[in-house]
Amino acid sequence: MYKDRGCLVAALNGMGYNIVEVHDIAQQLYDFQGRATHYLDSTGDRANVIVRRHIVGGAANDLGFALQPDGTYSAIISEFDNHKHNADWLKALKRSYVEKVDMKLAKAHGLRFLGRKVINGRIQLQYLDSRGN
Amino acid sequence: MAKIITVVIDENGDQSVDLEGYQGKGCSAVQKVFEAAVGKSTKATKKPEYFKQAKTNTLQR
Repeated sequence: MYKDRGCLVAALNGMGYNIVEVHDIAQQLYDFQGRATHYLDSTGDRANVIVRRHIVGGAANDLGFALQPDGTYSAIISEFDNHKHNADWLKALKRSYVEKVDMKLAKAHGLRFLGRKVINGRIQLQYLDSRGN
Repeated sequence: MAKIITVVIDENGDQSVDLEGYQGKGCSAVQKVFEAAVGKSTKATKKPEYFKQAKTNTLQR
C-alpha cells in the first residue's frame, strides 16, 4: 500500500528512525551479525528503503521496504524482529504514512489545512476547500 | 456555504472522508483526491446536499 516513497520515509522518521536509506537500485539487507539475509529471496533480500540494524537498535536485523512491480513498497521484516515490528507497529506506520500522504495531496490540490485532532485514537484532519468549483 | 473536508484515520490506518457543503459530482472529485492515499478503501459519507443536487439534475432533464 506504500506508494509514495517520500511519505514512507517521513513515516519511518516519525516512528523514530531518523536515518533511512533510499536507493533507486535495491540494496542487500543484513542480519544482526552482518550476514546477508535470505528471508524472501534465496539470492539475498534487497530493498529500496532501508533502516539499518544499528538504527533499529539492539540485536536487530535490517528493516527493508522493497519496490514491487506495481509501484508499491512492501516490508521485509525478519522473524526475529517481529516482536518489535509487529502488527501494531505496522498499523502505526500505516497511520503515519496515510496522514502524510493526505497532507501532501491536500496541499497539491490547493486545500487549506484547518487543523489536526486525535479523538479516541483516531486522527482527524480538516481542510477548507476554497477553490472556485 | 463553506466546503469543509474532514478526513478520519482510524487505528488500523484506514480512512474515511466526510464532506460538508459539496453538491453532486463535487463529492466524487474530492473523494478521488484522498483515495490516492490508501487506494480504493476510502469510505465516503454523502450528505443531503449530494442528493439534493442529483435530484435537481433529474428534474432539469
